[in-house]
Amino acid sequence: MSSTQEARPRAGAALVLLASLIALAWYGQGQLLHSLAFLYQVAQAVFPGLPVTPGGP
Amino acid sequence: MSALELALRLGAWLVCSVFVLAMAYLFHRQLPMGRPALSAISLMVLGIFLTTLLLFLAGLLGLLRADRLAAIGFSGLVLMAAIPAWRRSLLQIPRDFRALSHDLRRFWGSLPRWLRIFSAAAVLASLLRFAFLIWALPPFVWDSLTYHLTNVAHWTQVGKIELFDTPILRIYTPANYEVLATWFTVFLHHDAVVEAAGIPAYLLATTAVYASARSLGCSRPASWMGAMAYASTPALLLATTGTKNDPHVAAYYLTSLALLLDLAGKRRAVDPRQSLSSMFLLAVTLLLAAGTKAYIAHLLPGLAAIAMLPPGFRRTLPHWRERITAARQGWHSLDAWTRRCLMLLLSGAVLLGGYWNVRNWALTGNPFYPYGVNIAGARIFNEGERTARLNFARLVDNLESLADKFGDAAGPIEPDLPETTGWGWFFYGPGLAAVIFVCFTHRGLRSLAWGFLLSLLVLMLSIRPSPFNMRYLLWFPAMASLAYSCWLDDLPSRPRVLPIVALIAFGGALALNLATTLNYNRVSLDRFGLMLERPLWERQAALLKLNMPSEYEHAILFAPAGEPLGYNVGSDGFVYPLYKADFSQRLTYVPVSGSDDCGSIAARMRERGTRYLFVAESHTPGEVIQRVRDCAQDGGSLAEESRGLYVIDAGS
Repeated sequence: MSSTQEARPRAGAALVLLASLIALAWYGQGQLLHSLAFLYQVAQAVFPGLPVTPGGP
Repeated sequence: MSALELALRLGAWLVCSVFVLAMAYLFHRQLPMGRPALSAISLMVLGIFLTTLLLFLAGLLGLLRADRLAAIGFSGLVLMAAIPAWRRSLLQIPRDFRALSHDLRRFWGSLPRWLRIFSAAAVLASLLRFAFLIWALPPFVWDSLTYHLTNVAHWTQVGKIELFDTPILRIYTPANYEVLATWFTVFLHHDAVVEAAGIPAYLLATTAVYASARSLGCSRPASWMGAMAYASTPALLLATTGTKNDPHVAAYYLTSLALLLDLAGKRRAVDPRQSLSSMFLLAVTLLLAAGTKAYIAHLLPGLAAIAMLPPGFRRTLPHWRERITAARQGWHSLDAWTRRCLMLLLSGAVLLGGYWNVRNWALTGNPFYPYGVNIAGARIFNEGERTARLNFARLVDNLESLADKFGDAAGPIEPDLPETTGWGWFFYGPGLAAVIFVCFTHRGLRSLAWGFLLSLLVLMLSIRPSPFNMRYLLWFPAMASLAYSCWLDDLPSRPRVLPIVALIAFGGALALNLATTLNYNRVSLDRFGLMLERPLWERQAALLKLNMPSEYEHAILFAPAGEPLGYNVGSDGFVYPLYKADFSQRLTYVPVSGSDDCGSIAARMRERGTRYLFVAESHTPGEVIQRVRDCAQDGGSLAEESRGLYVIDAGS
């Protein structure tokens, strides 16, 4: 296999990974706080000193 | 419930389960699939189907009682042991169990060590999550409290599958899921574990994704990772223990996909018995789905496309002709007894697939009651409170709604999916990127993507635009999981940073998917506390106070247990919570309108055999509530017992 042929799958994989990470960051903007809200609520119950988040569940 | 009664009820459940599993095993032996994943699918489909069929027949005959079902199960086991051919088959169970254990060990051994550790942790976390949510919370999802579980509660209470007088016309819709859910209530005569009714579908859907990935040529580890990714989809996880029937439809869709990919695959040698088995199971699966929810019909064009595209468009007809000829040969190779048994099984599937619509047709003149049907402006069936329309205006509205929800940015993912798709971190992150890439590099996946898209478009063409219609798309994220499986196998191992970043993204996405479903994004810690401080048998849907007014709690606490409770709610009102968790509360619907006078309301209550009338804010029409309140304030025969609960002849 030539070096160009070897490099092609790597470039493809890197492209998909980069797109995944960008998409995760984009998705996280809307969902990260919602996804972690309950865990934070549990953490607050265990550690009452944690700050209360406004608008939490 | 005393310990002895509980033990007897669990014993009855066990006997009946052994009977159904033994039946499923006997049929499973007659339907060789040739691949372990498809064999697992066959056993699961047969298990779900036979459980549903047994309860359905018992329900029609009025035998839905733990003792009667145990008697049926025990007699069935004795009969099986008495028939030599069946006894010989059942004696093969230890040998087949050893083979299964060997297959599982081989599968587990094929996974890299890090994936085994990750998988063990994921399975354990998932098990704990399911077990805790089922144990801790009563049912609370809207559609369940309105109609799915209302059917289950009534059937469990009276021991019979029947229609009953209620304003909730959606109890008429196909109800195979509700029959299966009754399996989780009838033995304990309690709803403590009814949320587990979605678990068989969840396991079937996940296994089907694995089998489909294998049919697409993916390795075992990549297929397993794809299946785990799909299993972590938030919308699926929430609906599974949300006592909804959509996970079942998704499971049947994906099972059909797995069977079609196997049949359509060019690489598989044509084996007559295996072709017969796949086609037979496909028919059973689709019939089971038809009796679960009608929208499976809208997904069929996509499945048909998936069946036609993989062999190549020109090769499609000869390929399927070859398969059908092989299946016919397989049929003729069976002995007469086996053929009769399989015909009986297929008749059961036809019964489960068609009963509900035929019953509705006979009773109302419309098989799809309470939905009228309107195709391209022409009314096909009039009758009904809602209408299923097939036209392009709906497609545009539904696609706009999908576009608004795409990305899940508008709010938390909740069981009814009012603002989101619920497809989660994996779908929008690694999954979607893999779909786009693999569609260019993998022909099989491209065909699959067209099929999924066609199913989605036909569905969007016909479903009523509503904020809650994303629940019909639980099967869709499977495409991203399958694409990811295909992509993983092509992922270069060097430089090491590529697989490391890929696996961190995969693990992180799955962990976040799980995190977002821990409390349905609805139930706060104090609500969990409220339930956990009560014994398991006293956790009531009405006491969760999550999505219903306090009138329901009052009805549970103050309506006398020995008397029927009259109720008046609208066509989308909650009825299920009034039955109580142990189905001890008898109910009767009291039709009341805002123009009725107090005397005729009281007369109607007496006519329906009740002294009590329940009404609730946002569930009962406002004018009815006002009328009943006025009657109570007038000091006539109607008195307010507690909020939302009215009584006549209070002194008697």
